[in-house]
Amino acid sequence: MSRNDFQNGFALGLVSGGVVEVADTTEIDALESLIDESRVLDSTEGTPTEKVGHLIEKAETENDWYSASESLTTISSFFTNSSLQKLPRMNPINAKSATYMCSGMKNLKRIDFYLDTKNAEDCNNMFNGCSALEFIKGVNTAKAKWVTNMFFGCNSLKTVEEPFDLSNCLTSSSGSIIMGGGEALENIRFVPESIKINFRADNWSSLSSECVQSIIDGLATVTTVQTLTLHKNIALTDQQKATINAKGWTLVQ
Amino acid sequence: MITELVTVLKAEENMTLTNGETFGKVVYLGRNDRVENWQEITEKDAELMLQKQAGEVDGE
Repeated sequence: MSRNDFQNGFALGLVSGGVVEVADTTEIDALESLIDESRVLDSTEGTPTEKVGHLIEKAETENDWYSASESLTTISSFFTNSSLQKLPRMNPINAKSATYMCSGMKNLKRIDFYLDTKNAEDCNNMFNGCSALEFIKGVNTAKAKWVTNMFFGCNSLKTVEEPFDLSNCLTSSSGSIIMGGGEALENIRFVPESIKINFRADNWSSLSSECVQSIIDGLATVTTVQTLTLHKNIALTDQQKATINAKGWTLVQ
Repeated sequence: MITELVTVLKAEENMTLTNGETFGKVVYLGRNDRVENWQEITEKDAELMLQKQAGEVDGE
């Protein structure tokens, strides 16, 4: 990965609509301050963008990514349309908004580390358009209120290893949680009892039987009308249908 | 042994079942749901509604 690649991502983030907050003077100062304090960049001069470039370049060789994003309140669109093939390890991410964070990264194939967006409330469209993305270790959605279209256009995505916690998700404009993702998706799991509102997985036709069970286990018991939509090709046992019903959910296929 | 009856709705050919938000060919009604919440529409109309949904951008 070159410095320019990262700067490309960073600069695009700065100029895109969702990241106006990033360009806020206070935050730039905070970022600059943060970077200035790092042992890697003691003697480096330049703009924050240049410094981040230096930081990434140095960190890559040391395999020790510094969490330059730690002080940012948003990481929205940070890497949008970047040509990066690898996402910098920048954990934890304290930002409250991660919407479109990695959208349009068409060269990104794998994220081999757990993306600890521990405070992110808005994860909408986080990986929208990452058409080559095949594997994600995991994403922290414990505080996420919105995850709509998180994987929209991620038609190569096969596996998300760590389970999603959707316990704080709110309804989207469509009335359901629709994470996106396509027919390639085989492995995706959910924290038990964490799905509380309408959940649509009607594009996931290749889910492994283990992951289908994980979705069912992920359903919380509800007392209002909620629907689980699965692809018509997903074969369910009578026991699974009975479990879905016992939890109060309507099953749609 | 307690047996709970489940109501199953099936769409006719070229039709789709919807509650206005979700679409499918077969619906296994949950205990909180009612038959009246579901209606049959044509597949064409369902496709249009789905496209409209997909074009909507979620806000906070």
